Amino acid sequence: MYTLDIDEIRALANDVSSISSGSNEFELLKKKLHERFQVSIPEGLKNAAIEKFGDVTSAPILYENLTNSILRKKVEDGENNITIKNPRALYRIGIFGFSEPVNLNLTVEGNVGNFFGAFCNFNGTWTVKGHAENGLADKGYCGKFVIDGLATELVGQNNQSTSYSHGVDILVRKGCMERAMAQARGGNLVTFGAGFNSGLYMSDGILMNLGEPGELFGAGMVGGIIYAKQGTTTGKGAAIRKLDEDDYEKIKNVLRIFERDLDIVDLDDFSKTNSRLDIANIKHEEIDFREFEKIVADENMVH
Amino acid sequence: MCGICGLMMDDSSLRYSPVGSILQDMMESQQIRAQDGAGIAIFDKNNAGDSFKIKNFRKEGMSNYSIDEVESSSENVPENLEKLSQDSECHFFSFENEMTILKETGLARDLDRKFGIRKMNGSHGIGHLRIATSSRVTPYNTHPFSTTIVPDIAIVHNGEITNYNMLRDSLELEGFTFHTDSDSEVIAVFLASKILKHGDIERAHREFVAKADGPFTYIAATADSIAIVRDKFGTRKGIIGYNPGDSDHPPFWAMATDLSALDVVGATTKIETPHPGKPRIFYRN
Repeated sequence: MYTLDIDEIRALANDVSSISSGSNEFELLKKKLHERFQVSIPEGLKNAAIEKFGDVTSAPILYENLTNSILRKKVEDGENNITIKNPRALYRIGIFGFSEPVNLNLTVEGNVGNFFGAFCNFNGTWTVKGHAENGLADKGYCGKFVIDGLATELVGQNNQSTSYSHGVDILVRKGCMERAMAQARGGNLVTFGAGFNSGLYMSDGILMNLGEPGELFGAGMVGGIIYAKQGTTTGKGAAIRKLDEDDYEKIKNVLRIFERDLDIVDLDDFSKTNSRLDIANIKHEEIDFREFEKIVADENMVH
Repeated sequence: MCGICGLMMDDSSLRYSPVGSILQDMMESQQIRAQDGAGIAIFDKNNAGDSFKIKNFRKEGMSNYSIDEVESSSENVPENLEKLSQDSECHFFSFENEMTILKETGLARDLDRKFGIRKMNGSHGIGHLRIATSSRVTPYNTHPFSTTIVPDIAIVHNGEITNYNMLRDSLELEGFTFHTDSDSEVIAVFLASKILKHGDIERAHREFVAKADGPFTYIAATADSIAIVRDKFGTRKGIIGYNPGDSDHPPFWAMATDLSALDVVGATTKIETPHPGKPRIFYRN
């Protein structure tokens, strides 16, 4: 188990900043970071940081880069249980660029910023004990996410299903803002609320909204399925259908991924004739899937 | 990808609420979004009085601007506004009673170094980080935007008002004056025109949402209110949070583009997202 407290990197950078400046600051920071974390920072980052933020140590791109470099090194060294402390909604944490899936359970204690876990490719669970921002798991290949708080726009955007990946599975306990699973090509999202235009341009994957009915779901979708409570409205290109036996099987398979996280009892018995499930999210609630419908591409508009 | 933020203190009777310091932290935490300009508007009722300030940027040389401030009584405000509008070297930026707007090109921390934002007190305020998309990088195109129509109104905006020309044309036909080329200015002028017409700020926001096209989130402040408003399809984000009071701050509501801005000032309870098209307003108590 490895714990990275990002405040430690911030403190180290502040120390360097208090005793140096300009090029000297960058060189000293590079040296100290190598001593402490055995990682280096690219030269290009110096110019980008100075151009955009006036100096290196106040540039958020420095902390994103270092966080990802340190974690990547730990994974390469064989670590597969990592905790991050004090993320302070830093952008782009968890972009490691591994070409093959890695085994990694990651827990983030706090809020994560835009594009957390983008391009992810892992086996395990990444848990955020806080909120997540735009583009959570954007273009993700594989992995499981559990977000304890809410997530802003574009959760699971461009979720990737390829010849070697099935997409990312995401649970958002307090709901997503607009355009969840936009342009998704695979993967699964279970959420307790989703904003306007969720499922926009979906071509595959499943979006299951267990929260209140949404608005304008599925605009321009050509594939995939949205399960949502009756009363949800659709955008152009999407059609509402009743659930059939096969849908109950699909719902069961998606919920199986989060069975422990949602403390679901008797999931094995779930079917069209036994459509109620006791689900523990923020609180226990019984959900009756007879109150749900599915939203799919309107066959009259897809050619 | 501009960054916007705002806050309303729970108890506006506190004489020294650290609005400047909180706003500055919120802006610096969102600096990654934009680096072309930064600005704030802070409202402090201790400043309210019988006179008004009309502030302008006066061009000096090729690209430098100095701030030109004209103190006016309510009687000579129209005359002074007229005089300034004739001066081609002058760019209007704010019409103030209790409000103070300060803005400049560059980073948020440079704004603080120049004007001492962290030392400013008040009941509420808004802040902006600009990345220029539709007008030049100059101090007068930096947010917040104010108007010469009524004092003490300021807006900050992230996104685009795509039918800006149409809205501007119709407001100009009604006789309202614009002072910049920015689409964001139309929000301030529209709201001010409605305040003049019916005096209901919530209704003014609803009317703007009904008329405006495009992806946008804006935060608008008047002497008594602050509102965060998203376009009707929610295509630009906005987040609200509450700090119930801690060792650094009295209780306040905060709103911003990025969660990081709420995180850095401890406004992470009661996190919510404003419903698209429905203004979320906080009134000064």
